Amino acid sequence: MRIDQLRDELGSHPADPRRVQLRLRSLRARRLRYRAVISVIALVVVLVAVAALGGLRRSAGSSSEGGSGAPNFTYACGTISLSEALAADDLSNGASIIVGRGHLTGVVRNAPIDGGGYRQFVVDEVRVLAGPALTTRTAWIAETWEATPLPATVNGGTRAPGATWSVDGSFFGEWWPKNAADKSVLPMLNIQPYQDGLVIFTRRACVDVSGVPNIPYSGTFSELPGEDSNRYARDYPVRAVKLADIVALLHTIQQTSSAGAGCPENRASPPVPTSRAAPRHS
Amino acid sequence: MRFDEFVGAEMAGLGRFAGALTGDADAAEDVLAEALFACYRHWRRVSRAANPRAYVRRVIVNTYLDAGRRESRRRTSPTGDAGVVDRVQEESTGRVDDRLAVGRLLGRLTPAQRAAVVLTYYDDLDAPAVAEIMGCTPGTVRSHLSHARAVLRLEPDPRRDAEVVPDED
Repeated sequence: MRIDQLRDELGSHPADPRRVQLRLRSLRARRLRYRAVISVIALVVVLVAVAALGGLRRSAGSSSEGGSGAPNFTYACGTISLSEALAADDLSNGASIIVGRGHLTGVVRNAPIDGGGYRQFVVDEVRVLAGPALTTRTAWIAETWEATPLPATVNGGTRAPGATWSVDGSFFGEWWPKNAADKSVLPMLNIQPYQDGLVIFTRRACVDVSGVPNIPYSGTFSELPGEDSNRYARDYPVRAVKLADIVALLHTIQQTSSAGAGCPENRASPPVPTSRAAPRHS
Repeated sequence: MRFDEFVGAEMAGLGRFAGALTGDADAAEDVLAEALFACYRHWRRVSRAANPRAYVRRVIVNTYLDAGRRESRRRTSPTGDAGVVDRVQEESTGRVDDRLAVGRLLGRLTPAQRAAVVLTYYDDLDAPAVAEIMGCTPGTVRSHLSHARAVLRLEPDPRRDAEVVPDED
């Protein structure tokens, strides 16, 4: 074989540049699709993780606020409507919905398990809107203990504010009585500011109030010392709902509940099991 | 230089190179597309190389050799074994004029031997340059060429006679 024969033969099967370009384009497109799929999967994993984290917080928050069998709606984070929150977490589980005026005593207690703090709050005046009458005027407010930042909001907020109430002490709240089964669980109180006939829902409440008439609200509230809740509250939409509308909503819930008595499927879901203990008598 | 610019400028030459390596236009397109895709994924590194063209050819050769290895795992009949070399050597006096016969003889080369032949006789590279592209030593290249010349019954190339001497290794 001569060298020129060899070269002729070697050069006789060139790849078609157009077909190579097409093939290359196809591979690049496939890679883009692959990366897109991977990105979507990664996003889903992150969302699931965030949702799971949120669920853990919610369940832990339930425990911290109400002790065993005493959940709250403060960590529902907007995925649950106000009516569902009131029905599911409060009226079906022995809480009292109240408006009143009160003040912090300065007494702090730590939970026995996770060390989260609770502030003692004394109710000076109270009006029970729904649920049983109060048997004591002293309850405990859970400190905000979200050390892990939340996903950033459109306003850039990464942390939910803590409990707030009006500067004159007025509040709207859910009062969880001392646990009947576990006497060591103290009464708990979740509060939102109440002023000028309006209940103000910060992200602390984490309920969706779009089902009732509401308006945006801005203002400064009393807060637990050191929590800077007014600043964190401004990172999220703050909405105000007329107390009259909430009272009407409570009536509707109670009527529906009476009509559905004996039909478990008509009742709200039971509270999520809790992992964070409420403060107990030491 | 951007990847698309490089491909646009070099595609024709790379297509011929890939065709010489594979001996089949379809296979050449597969190998070349796969190699270029690999370069595309690491283009930043490729474009920073001292000689991107040589780098891309190295990727093409590696892709071709990998494809050959995959193919050889699927098949059971070896193509470049000593028996083939011996038989060819017995017939080494005959001249091969028929193009098909040339193709058949090239088909008897191992992928590494063929790569060495292509880089040496088609791209006119010397043994060290071929060795760099193939990722082996110049001695190994010369060994591949020696076996390939025997299989191909290649006439002596006056320009390369001094180079294509089988190493002791």
